[in-house]
Amino acid sequence: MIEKEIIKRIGELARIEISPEESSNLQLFKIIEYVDKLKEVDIEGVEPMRGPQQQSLKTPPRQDKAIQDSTRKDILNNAPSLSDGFFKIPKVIE
Amino acid sequence: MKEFDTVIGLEVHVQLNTEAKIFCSCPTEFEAPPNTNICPVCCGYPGTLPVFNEGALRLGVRAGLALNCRINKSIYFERKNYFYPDLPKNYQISQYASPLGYQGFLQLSPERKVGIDRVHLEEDAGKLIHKQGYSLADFNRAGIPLLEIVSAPDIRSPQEAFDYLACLKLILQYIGVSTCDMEKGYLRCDANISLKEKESKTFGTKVELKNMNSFKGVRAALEYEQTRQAGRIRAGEKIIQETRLWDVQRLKTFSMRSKEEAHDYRYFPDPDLPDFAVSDQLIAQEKESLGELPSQRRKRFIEQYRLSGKESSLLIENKPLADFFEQVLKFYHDSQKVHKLLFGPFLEQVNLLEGGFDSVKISAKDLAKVVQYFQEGKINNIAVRKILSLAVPAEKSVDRIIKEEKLTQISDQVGLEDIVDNVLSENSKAATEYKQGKTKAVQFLVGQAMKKTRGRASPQAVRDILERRLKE
Repeated sequence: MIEKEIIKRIGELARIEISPEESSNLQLFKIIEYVDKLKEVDIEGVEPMRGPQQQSLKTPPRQDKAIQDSTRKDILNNAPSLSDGFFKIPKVIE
Repeated sequence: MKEFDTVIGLEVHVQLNTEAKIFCSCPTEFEAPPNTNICPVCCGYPGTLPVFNEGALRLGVRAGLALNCRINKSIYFERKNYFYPDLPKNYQISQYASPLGYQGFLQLSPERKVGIDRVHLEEDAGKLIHKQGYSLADFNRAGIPLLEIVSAPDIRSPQEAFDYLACLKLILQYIGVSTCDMEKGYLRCDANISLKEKESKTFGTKVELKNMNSFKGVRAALEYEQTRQAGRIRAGEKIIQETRLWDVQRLKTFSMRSKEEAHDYRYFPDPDLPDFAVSDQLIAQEKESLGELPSQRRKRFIEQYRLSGKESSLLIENKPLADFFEQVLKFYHDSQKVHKLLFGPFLEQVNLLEGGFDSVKISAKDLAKVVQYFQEGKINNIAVRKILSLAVPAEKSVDRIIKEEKLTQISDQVGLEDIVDNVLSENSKAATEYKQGKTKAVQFLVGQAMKKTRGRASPQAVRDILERRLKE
């Protein structure tokens, strides 16, 4: 039951619909259970690693210089609907 | 009756004054037509990668230093995930675990200090305009660098919140980090407020306030909320933790009634962006570029120019005017006299200009001349006003105006005596009234004499002669 609730919540957060059938077929919790094995490892005093780029690579940032991009028209033309240079979208008010 | 302490914390977003956006090179120009400053990166196209703008880092560090923060020597970015049409990537690149600055404070007055919990960098979202049945999206703003400044819950009243904002804005303007123009959305403020029963150690339930579009709006919303919460608690009702919106027309807050549980941002480190080092060298350079902060300048103005605390505050609150004041002093030494002219006839003229101080044309050197000529008795205060009315809005030299308009004061004593004699014989009625004790009549006589000189005499000199004659 609790698992169903969690799946429903994950679906809501990702804005996807998960049917009850799909929900009961999901292997999600088996996978989580499997990954949970990692909890057994003693990580006392170990910094969490965010990715390979951490620490080893200190990337220099870009200079603050504005450049007008040339793909603006293509981006606009990709949109299903436009209105006076705006993207026209279904009304969404939270 | 229960007494309460008010606990307020403010979350301020300011737009950093960079040329380009924070993770792409699109311009940040404000009034561009919709969707002109966009590219595949800020529109969230697949396969694009963000590249961090050093300008945003520098301004962020500078602001952090001015707010007495400790600066993180290594920073990284996280993704804040949510779905909304103003957010092309469905996440906002922000900072969560490693804010650029932390543990700072803002000194409001010698007695009052407000803690700054953190300052962090993030990108702005796009702008939505809601129409009948549809919405319009403009992504010019998407990706513009923002600095979020989070205060500690140290603010004790709506007025103090107002003072905090004014103080913060002034500092950020002084150090060139942001124009803080609230009308353009360069500064936005959300507030948290709760009431704590006096003597109690636990905080009350807090309410988040949004949608205030001026500092006065922030203060008014907090005042309203303070009263509303106190009323509820006294009536034995609970405060619901929620977000409330300020309605500037009705002057009250109302509940947003959104599903609070829907907010789960699932922050995680953005794998597209590496860690960035904030070098000691960069921090030192930004410290150097801080220059004089408003509080230091205020103190200096009091000491160096012998201005009162109030006069000094009024000056430094308007940075361009304070800069101008100091420029004028390079050409004429007497700070009190210059200050008097600036805050008198000069600002009178400035206030008539549509563009305000920005459209003032008179040079510092010429304004210094006006003060000097007035002090030397070369021109009187009527002439000062006349000169300023011509020289402030248009590029016109003060010396030329004086020559063309014949504004040089008549200081020739004999000439003035003759004029006064004339006035007295033409207005014997007023003269008699004065002698009968109606001292106000002298004002009329001075006016008549000034008229004869076409405003070129010193009103004080005329008055002296008149009074002497009338007593003869």
